[in-house]
Amino acid sequence: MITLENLTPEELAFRDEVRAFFAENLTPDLREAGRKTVWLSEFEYGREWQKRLNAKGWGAPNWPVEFGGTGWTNNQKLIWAIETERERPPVIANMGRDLCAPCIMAFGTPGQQQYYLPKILSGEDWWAQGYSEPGAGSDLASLQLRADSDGDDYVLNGSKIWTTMAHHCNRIFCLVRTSKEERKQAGISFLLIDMDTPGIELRPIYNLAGVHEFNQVFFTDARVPKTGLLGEEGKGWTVARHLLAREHSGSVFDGLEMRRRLAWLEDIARHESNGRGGALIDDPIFLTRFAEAAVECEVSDAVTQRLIKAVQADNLPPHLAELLNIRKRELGQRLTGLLMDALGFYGAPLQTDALHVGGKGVAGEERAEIPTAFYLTQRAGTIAGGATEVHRNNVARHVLGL
Amino acid sequence: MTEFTEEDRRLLADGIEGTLATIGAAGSSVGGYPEQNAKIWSDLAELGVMALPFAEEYNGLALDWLEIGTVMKSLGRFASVEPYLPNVVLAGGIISRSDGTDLKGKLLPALATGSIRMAVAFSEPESRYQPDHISTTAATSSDGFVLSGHKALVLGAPQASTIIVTARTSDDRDKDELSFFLIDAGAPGVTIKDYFTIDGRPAAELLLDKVRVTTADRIAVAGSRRAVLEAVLDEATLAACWESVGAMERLNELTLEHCKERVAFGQPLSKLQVVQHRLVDMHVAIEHAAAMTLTASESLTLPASERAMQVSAAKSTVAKEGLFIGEAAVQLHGAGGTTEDLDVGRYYKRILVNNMIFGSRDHHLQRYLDLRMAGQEVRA
Repeated sequence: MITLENLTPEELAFRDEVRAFFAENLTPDLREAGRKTVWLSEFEYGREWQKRLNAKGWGAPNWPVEFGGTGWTNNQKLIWAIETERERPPVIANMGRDLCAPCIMAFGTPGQQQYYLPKILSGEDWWAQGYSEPGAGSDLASLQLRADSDGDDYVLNGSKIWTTMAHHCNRIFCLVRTSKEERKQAGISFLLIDMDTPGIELRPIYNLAGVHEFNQVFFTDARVPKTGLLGEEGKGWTVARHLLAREHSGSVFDGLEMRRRLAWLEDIARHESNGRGGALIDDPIFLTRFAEAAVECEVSDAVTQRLIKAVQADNLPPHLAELLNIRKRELGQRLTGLLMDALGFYGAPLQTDALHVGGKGVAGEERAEIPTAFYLTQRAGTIAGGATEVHRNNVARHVLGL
Repeated sequence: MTEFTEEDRRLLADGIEGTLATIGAAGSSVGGYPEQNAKIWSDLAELGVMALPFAEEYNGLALDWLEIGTVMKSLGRFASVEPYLPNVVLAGGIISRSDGTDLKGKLLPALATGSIRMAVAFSEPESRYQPDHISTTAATSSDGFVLSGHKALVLGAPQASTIIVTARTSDDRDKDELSFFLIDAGAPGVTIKDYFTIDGRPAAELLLDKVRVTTADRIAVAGSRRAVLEAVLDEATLAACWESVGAMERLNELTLEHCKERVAFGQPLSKLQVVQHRLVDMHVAIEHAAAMTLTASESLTLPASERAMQVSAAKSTVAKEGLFIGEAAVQLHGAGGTTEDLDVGRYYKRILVNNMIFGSRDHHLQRYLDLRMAGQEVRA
């Protein structure tokens, strides 16, 4: 099991405070939204959770204190991460808080900081990330969305794709092309845009589980005031790099999530009939697969423990998280595959409605409602945030020096 | 009996795929059974596709498993939601083995022309992949039987007018047997809770609450009914294998095409060696899956235990290689592969569902192993 060693009395008191917060604030509805999360939680429950965090002053633990951060120590952040993994509140992509705000702090004018940051913290504003394009995914610098200068505005034409939850967002930050240069990273600018700008249209994209999660965002002569420029024109790549470094570091604490999936698998296997008068867990071939997965979870814990020690010592080697995340993402996927397999033919029905809070399944027991959607949605686990092939290239170059 | 040549099979595939191409793989969109499918079904019937396996005296063409395989593979190449498997392979398989000519004369010509829709309900919530582990009962009544129980994941049931249900009479229980009953989908006591599978196929939970049937509704078969069910399910298992092979073939085509076209970091994905090797492995995988499926098809006329071993070898192989191809195809298509925007997901989900029905990979590995061990005991 993952443990935090040598906690001080103050840290133990903090952990009690965190646990009390969860006990009080994680209502049955919010808990159900968390339990039914196959990638991101249902939006309104995720926003509600952010509001509760903010009311406690914990809306943005990673922000500097002067902007509303908590000023937690490394150990406090670890305690928070572990308790959060354990309790599994509804979590949605908080692109504004986690990705855009750090850029606004680093590159924004005082005016931009005062205008945008409080609304991100309170949950009033919700931001979408406009990075990928139909022709630019893992190779982001190939992006084409045109932003032509015209007086005080940029005129935008093109589209962004895989914009998660954009249909719930009122703002979007985009990488746009303000000029065409020899080096494709040059000529890119970072723009803060209101979603209700005329000329912006959304097309829903359904994932393999039938859930509306992504969108394609079309810009047709959309006029964006130049006051939305973050940093200098043409220097958007520098801003983006600042942000990508954060995105790629990933969660180093999802060892607990692997444990949760394993326990879930064991529970299903104890309840599913094997058709021979026993339960699935009595079947030798299943047990072999289970044993392999269980040992891999032990390994995952060991790896997590090592990362925690490195974080505690402020000594996280560059690219170590990226390297270890490759296998963790793959293990995460394999566990969802085992969950689905364990259901037998009851993995087959489409149960999209059951993914909503209060929603019901169409066939089988309640345990059959989530795993297949979970498995299907998690296919993105080795694609989103850079395909694992690209991460392997990065590790080859930066760690192995190839 | 008509002899089919390679050329005939090619023409058959062209005919089916020409028909299915009118709606494309989008016909298997999640959560919808398009109106136009009624037309596809009758077009396929007109091609004679439904008549293939049935005896000539029932308007069939008396063709064998290479032709059924050809049909299933073509359906797989479009991730088609047409209920060929529940109607022709499952219902047709049981009726063809029934005793006497009355039932065959009544149902086979109708199945051969696609004018009746049927389904076979053999799974239950607790049966997993053991079709003889059922608890649906057939109590004797004055003029027949009264059926009660819960049948699970009945493919094609929402459109079926007549459903074949497996159940146990008290006599069956004593003899470790089961029986087939024909029920009317609209009969009192029948509840059909319909839904779609993740690959777009209509299916249902079938609840039977004291459904009355006559003695004539019990299907008479020569010999063991369990053996008949096992033989029909082995054929259905192979049909699913052929269909998955068709879906795998299409995934390989789509993925190769995508990798040649998609440019990232200044070159097509197909120029990257890691991508090339993955594509090669996908092509190795389908050769293995297709070869084993073909060999197992040729074994259908062998004694039951030899047939079953081959079928289980095929199903476990197709499940493994199909999953590999499906996951690799999604991965190589990047974000688009994880959405309903592209056809990749439809083929992938067809493979996944086929992996879950008629026995999973693990089920068939165990079945293969049990049969192999038993065979060695006999020899020793």
